[in-house]
Amino acid sequence: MPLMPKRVKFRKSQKGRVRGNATRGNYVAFGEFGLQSLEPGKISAQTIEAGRIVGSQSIKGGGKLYIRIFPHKSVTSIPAETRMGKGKGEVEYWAAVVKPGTVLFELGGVSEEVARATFARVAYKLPVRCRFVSRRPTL
Amino acid sequence: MSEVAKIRVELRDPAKNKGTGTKFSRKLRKQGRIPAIIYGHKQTPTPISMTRDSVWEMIKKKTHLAELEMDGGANETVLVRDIQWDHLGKEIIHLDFARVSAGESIETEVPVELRGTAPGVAEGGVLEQLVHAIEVTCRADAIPDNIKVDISELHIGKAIHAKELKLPDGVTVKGDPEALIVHVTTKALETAAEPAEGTQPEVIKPERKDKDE
Repeated sequence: MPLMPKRVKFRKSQKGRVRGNATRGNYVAFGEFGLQSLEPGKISAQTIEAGRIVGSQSIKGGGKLYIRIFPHKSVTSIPAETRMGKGKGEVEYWAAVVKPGTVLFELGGVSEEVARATFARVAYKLPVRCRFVSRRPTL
Repeated sequence: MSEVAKIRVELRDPAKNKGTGTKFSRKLRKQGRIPAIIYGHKQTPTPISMTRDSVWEMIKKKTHLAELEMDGGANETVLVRDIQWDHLGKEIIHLDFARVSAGESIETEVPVELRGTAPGVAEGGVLEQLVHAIEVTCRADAIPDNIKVDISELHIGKAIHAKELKLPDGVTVKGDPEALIVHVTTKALETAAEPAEGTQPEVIKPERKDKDE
């Protein structure tokens, strides 16, 4: 089942614009390797699910895949061949707002080679340009 | 313990827009230098700058301590307290150094390194490392490079906690001794995506207060 919030204060939200860079969630925190977004955008819950499926298929249960983004934002649309007006459309899907630098997925318990191959397959599913990242050095 | 990195630094004017501030820091970064600050020991904070190459050299050496050589010939032994990265984690934008003396007791983060292969993985489990760097209390001149954790006895369902770590003399773990460091779990079963037609989140409605009450 695609991800979505359990409870919300408002069902529909304004469109908004994705501005700036990620200041939070921009480093590998749980696993050893990550997939980082290089572009701003919205990633739908279905796309996150597609990434999760291809990621878990690729690691074959050999490691742990972490999903670092959550679709908090509802995206509405009006049906085709409908006259303009008569209020805002119905919720079509839920999406995660992604800024450049956001770590989308993480992997732990696998080798770098496996992680690179997995994230290449996951990145193919995503609507934003991504890069492979490792943990930052601890000093 | 790794060797102390020796870095030549330049002092910055503490006056805003002359040696500190966003504009000046950006100018420094364009010149290939990284702004930093030294604080601690109840002395006034000293803004400094250093070359990018010297910082990367220090990171490659994985040294916690650094000896900063100032313009006037004065030297300061410091501990790397914080590193600020850009949004992509490619470039270092600022460094924090804390003044330390050799025998002083300090708190710092030390990486946790796994040694050996867990038999639980061959049994079909998944090795999960939950803590990659642990906060320890030790003497400034005896900071361990890393904490080695032997996982050669880790079967499925077994775990290593913070209290079970073999630490060098004079090093103690700060924080919860029961904290889970590494464990081997069973493989998670793949859950098939179910079509969820028409399911929508619950809308939180504000509680209405009756005027009669």
